[in-house]
Amino acid sequence: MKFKVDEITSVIAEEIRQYRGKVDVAEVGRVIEVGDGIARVYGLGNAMANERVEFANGAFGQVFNLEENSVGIVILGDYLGINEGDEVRRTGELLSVPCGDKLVGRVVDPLGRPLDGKGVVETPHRRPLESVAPGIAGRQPVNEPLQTGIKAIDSMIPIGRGQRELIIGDRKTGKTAIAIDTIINQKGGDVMCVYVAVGQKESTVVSVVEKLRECGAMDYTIVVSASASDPAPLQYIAPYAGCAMAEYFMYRHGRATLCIYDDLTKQAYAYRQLSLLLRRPPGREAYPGDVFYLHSRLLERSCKLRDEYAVVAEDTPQDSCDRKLARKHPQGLKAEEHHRPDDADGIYHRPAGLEHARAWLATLPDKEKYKVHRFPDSGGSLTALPVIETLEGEVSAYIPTNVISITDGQIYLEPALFFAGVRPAVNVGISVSRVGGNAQRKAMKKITGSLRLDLAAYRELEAFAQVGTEVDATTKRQLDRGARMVELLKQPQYRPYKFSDQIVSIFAGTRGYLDDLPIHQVQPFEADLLKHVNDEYPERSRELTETGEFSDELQEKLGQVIKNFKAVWVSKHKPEGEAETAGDPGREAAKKSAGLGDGPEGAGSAQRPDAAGSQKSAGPHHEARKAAGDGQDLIGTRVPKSTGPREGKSERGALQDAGMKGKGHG
Amino acid sequence: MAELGNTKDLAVARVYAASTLEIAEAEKTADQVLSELGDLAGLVQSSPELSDYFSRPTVDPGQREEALERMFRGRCLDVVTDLLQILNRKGRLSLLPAVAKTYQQAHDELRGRIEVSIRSAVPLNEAQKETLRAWAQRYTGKIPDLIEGTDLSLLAGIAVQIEDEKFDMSAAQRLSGFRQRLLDRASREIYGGKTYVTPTA
Repeated sequence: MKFKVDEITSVIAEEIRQYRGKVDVAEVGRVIEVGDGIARVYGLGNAMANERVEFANGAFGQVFNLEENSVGIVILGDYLGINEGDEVRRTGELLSVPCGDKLVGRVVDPLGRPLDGKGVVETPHRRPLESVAPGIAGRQPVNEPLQTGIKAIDSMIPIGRGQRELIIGDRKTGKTAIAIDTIINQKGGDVMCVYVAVGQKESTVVSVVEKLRECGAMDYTIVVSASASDPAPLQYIAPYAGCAMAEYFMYRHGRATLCIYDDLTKQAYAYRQLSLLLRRPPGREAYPGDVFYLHSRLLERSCKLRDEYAVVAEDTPQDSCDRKLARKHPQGLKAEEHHRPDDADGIYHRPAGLEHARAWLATLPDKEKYKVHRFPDSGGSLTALPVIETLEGEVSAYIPTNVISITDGQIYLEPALFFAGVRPAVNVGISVSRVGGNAQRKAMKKITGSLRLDLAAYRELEAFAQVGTEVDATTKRQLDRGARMVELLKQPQYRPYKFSDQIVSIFAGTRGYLDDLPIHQVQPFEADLLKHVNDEYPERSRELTETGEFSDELQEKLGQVIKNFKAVWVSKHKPEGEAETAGDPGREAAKKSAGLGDGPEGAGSAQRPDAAGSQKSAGPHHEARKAAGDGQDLIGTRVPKSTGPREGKSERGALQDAGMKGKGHG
Repeated sequence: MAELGNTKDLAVARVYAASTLEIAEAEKTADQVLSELGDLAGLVQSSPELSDYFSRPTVDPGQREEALERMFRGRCLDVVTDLLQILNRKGRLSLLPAVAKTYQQAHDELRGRIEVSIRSAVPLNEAQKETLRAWAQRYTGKIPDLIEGTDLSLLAGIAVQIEDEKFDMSAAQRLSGFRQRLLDRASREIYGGKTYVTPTA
C-alpha cells in the first residue's frame, strides 16, 4: 500500500491556511456521580430540558432532570469511560437525529450511527428527536388504505394511512411477523418504512434485516436498532428517533410513511429504569407517573396531513412548494362560500378544498393562465404499528391499557389460535380498527360485510361441534362456512397477498363456493384458483387493483369463473376411496381447532399446496377456460397468459425443495 | 465528611450559610466570619481525628457541645461558635466544610465578587494577570478573584473558567479542533470515493 504523500500534504497545508483559531466558549459542569447509564453533573445552571450535552470522552447525553444544584443526565453512549470530576459541556441544541434519503437501506442506532458496516451516513438533514405533533387544523381524516397483504387484517381490521394500530399479544404469537409482512407488502408502492427494534436480541434483528433484504424491502426501509445489550437511554429514545426519520419524508416530501415500534413494552422498561435511577417518584408497577405521556407523545406524531392546494400560475413547476405563489382571493369581491380558500394566504385544504379551488378557477376571467396546484409536500402520512407484548394474555395490565387507549385500534394475537394452527393468530372478535371502512377500498368493503359475523357465529357454535351434538341445517351451514373461512384466512409468513388476490380469495369464501370442499383442500384450491385467475385474466386483476371497484357484473363473472374452475379442480383432486365431501367438515374442523382431531390441518400447519397439487393445477386452468367457452373471460376479450405467474409459484417450488413446507406465521 | 460535590448536602449547607451570613452582615462581621469559617474548615479537613470526632454519631452530643464551648468560645466570634453548636445539635457538624464553601459563595455574591479560575501552560506575570483581571471585571461586572494554576497539558495559552463558563484559548484545544477538522474531511473524502492510498502489487 502506498500513501499519496503529496496529496495528503496539500490537504493539510490547505487546512492550515484556512484555519482560523477561535476562542472556544462553552458552558461546562463537573460530573459528581456516574453509573448505570446516568450521570449527575454539578453546574450547567442554564441547561435546558432534553438538551444534548457532551462528555469529555466524546459520549453524548441528554438532560433529563433539572435540579437546584445539579442536572441529571442520561448517557447516550459508553458511560464506562466517564469519571467523577470529568467536564461536561452544553451544546445548546436539543437532541436530534440525522434523516434523509441516505438513511434508506441502512441499519443505524438511535443516534444515526451506522451498525451495518457500510460507512458513515452522510446527510445534511437533521430533525429533533422530539417534535410537536400537528394540530387539528393540520390534519385530515384517514381515508386511504395501507395494505398489509394479510387477508385477516385487510378484510376485517383495515388499517389506513395515518392510523395507529396496535399489535398486541403474548410472546411468540407472530407480532413481528405481521409487521414484517406489512413492510414487504409495500414493495412497488410509495410507502417509506421505518422499523424500530427496541430491546431485541441482535440475532433477531439480523434475521429481520436479512429477510427484508431478501424480499427487496430494504430499498425503502430504514432499520433503527437499540438492542438488549444497548444502554437503557438508547432504548428509550429509539422510537422517537425512528419517528423523526419517518417524519422527514412525511413533512419534506409529502410521502406516506410507515413506522413500526417493536416493541414499546421494552421502551417502557427502559424508561422505568432511567426514572428510578434518577430518583423520580415511582407509581403503579414502579413506572414513573408520566409513562402514559411517554407513548402518547410518540403516537400522536402519527397522522394524515392535510392536502394543500392553491390556484397558481400555469407555468408553476409541478414540484413547487412555495406557498407565496398562491393567487390570493381578491379583496372586497363577494365570492360564494364554496370559492373561498381556507386560509387568508389563498391555500385550500383537504380534498374538499380541491373542489373549491376548481370552482373558483372556473369563475376567473383569465382562467387559462392559472391552474390548481397541489403542493407536493402536503398530504403526507405517518402510520404507526406499535407492538406491545403482554404476559399471559393480560391485556388489562398497565402499559397495554395505556397504549390501547392511545391507538386507533388493536390487532390481538392469541397463543391458543397460534398453537391450533391458525396463523396469523388474529382474534377477530376483539381486534378492531377504529378507522374501519373509511380505510378500505370499495371492493373489499363490498365482500367483507358479513365476514366478521360469519366468524363470530362460527365461534359461538363451535362448542356444539366439540360436543358432537346433532345440529340443524342452518347451524351446519354456519359451521361449514366458518371452518372454511378460518382455513382461508391462514397465510404463510413472508407471503403478503396483493389486493386483487385477496378479493378473489375472500369472495370465493364468503359467497359459499368453498362450503362443500373438504377443509384440507381449501388452501390448495385457493392457490390454484388465484393462479388461474392471474394467468388467464391478468388485466381484470390489474383493473381490480387499480380501481378498487368490484361491480356487480364483475362479481357475477368471477363467480362463474370460480364455479367452472372448481368443477374441474374437484374432479382432478377427488381422492380415491374417499367421499367427495367430508361428512361434517364444519364439525370436524371445529373439533380439530379444539385439539380433538388430527389431520393435515391439525396444530401447527398452514400448508401451501404441495408439488403434486401445483402440477395438477396446470390442467384445471385450461379445462376451466374450456368449460367457460373459448373467447370468454371475466369481461371482454380473451387475453394472453400472463408471463409472470404469481411469484409464489417458483418460491413454492424452491421452498418445497428446501423441505420448508408448512411454514406459518410465528 | 460531606463531599463538597454532594448536592443534597450542599443544599442543606446553603441554608446554614445563608442564615449565618444574614446575622454576620447585621453585626458587620461578615468578612471575619468568612475568614474564621475558612480556617475551621481547613482545620477539620486536615485533621482526621477532629473530623472523626465531629462526625461520629457515637459521641454524646452533650459532651461534644461542652467540648465545642471549651475549644471555640472566646477564640472565635460568637456567631461562629453558635453556628457550630447549632450544627452539632442538628447532627450536621460533618457539613462544616460545605457550610464554609457555600458561605464564601454567598459572601462573594453579596460583595459582588466572583471566582475566576485561570489555568496556563506557564506561570503568568503580573501584567498578564492584571490584563485578565480587567477583562473578567468587564465581562462579569463583578470584582474577580483570580485563582491561578499551571497545566502543562494545555501546551500553550490559557483556559479561563468563570462559574459555568469556560473560555479555552489553549494550543491543545486548537490542535484538537484542527485534528477533528482533518478527520471529518478525511471521512467525507474517503466515503466519497477519494482515498489517500493506492494499492501496490
